[in-house]
Amino acid sequence: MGRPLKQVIREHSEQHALSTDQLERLEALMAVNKPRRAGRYNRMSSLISWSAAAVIASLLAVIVLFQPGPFEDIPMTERIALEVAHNHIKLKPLDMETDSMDGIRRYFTDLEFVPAESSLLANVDRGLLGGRYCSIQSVPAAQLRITSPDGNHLQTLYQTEYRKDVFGMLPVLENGDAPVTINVKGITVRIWVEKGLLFAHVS
Amino acid sequence: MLDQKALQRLYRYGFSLTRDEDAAYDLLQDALEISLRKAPDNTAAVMRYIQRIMRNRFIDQYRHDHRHPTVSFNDNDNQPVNIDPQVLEDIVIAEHEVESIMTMLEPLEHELLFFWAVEGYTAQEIADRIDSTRGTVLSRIHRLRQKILRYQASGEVGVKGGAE
Repeated sequence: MGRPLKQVIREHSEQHALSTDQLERLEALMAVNKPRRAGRYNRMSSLISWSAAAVIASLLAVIVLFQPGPFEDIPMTERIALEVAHNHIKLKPLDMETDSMDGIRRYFTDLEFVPAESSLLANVDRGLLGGRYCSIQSVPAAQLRITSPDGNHLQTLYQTEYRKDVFGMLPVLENGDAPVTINVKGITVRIWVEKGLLFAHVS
Repeated sequence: MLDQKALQRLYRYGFSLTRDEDAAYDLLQDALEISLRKAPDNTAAVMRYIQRIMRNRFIDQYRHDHRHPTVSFNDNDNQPVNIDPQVLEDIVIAEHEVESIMTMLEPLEHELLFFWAVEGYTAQEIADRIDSTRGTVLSRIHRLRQKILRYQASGEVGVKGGAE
């Protein structure tokens, strides 16, 4: 029996919905990156706003980190590896193209950190193609695309500010730690902290 | 901060473009990441801002994936029209036919249907959201109707037009 196109399209659309897990991840993304406002509120309202934001962020963090779900018992390094490998495979278009780290630093000005070179990846400039904004575990990050030294493969280097409250303890290069190497989805991910930044290299 | 209802609306908008649940989620997440840096203050403006980012990123991705696209995203066929904005209202389809209809439509036709059927926007409101004109939107609605009716006539699905 026929029904109005509008009604059928509406019902068809409503069949598709974010899962509870996806909603929580997006809410955590918004809570972690809540825009900062300055000079528009008095001290008391600002204090209340920040307190409320802190409570919401804490609750969301507790929900996301401690609820049983697909990431239960998965170490943080593996979660990071899965996330960056997933993004690497998708090979989304670059936000900007450049062959220099200076170009990268000039573009990524909306981050809470300044993109840097790593001593583990000498001459990144040589194969740099460009970058795009992304996030790791809901923390804003820069995703740099580079060609492998032999020129045959694309690699991705992620970097973001190292937040212990989000990422926990990770190997710090300056402390003599070695990067964690994880193989997921058929690719190798190395994760380490250097210069106060978290690096994840997918090759 | 957007509530869950707003996130679901944006997700469904993403699905109308991509026709893929994972891609719709990625599109929404990307747009949220960008919007969080420079988003307007009020929720309605944020919704429009994020929708615009999703649309632009989808078009970029589509062009990236289709090196020789057959779909035009340059909507400049601004024909002077006397088209009834209700032109889609009388089309009747069977519920099981919706998938086959959606399969034969182009991404921006999905978007048009979403804005019209799900969001309930007028032609002018749709035009505002896609940086076009009301006349162009009406032309597209008219062509969409013709396309669905032609599809019906071909016998590929059991779509029928209602009272003319």
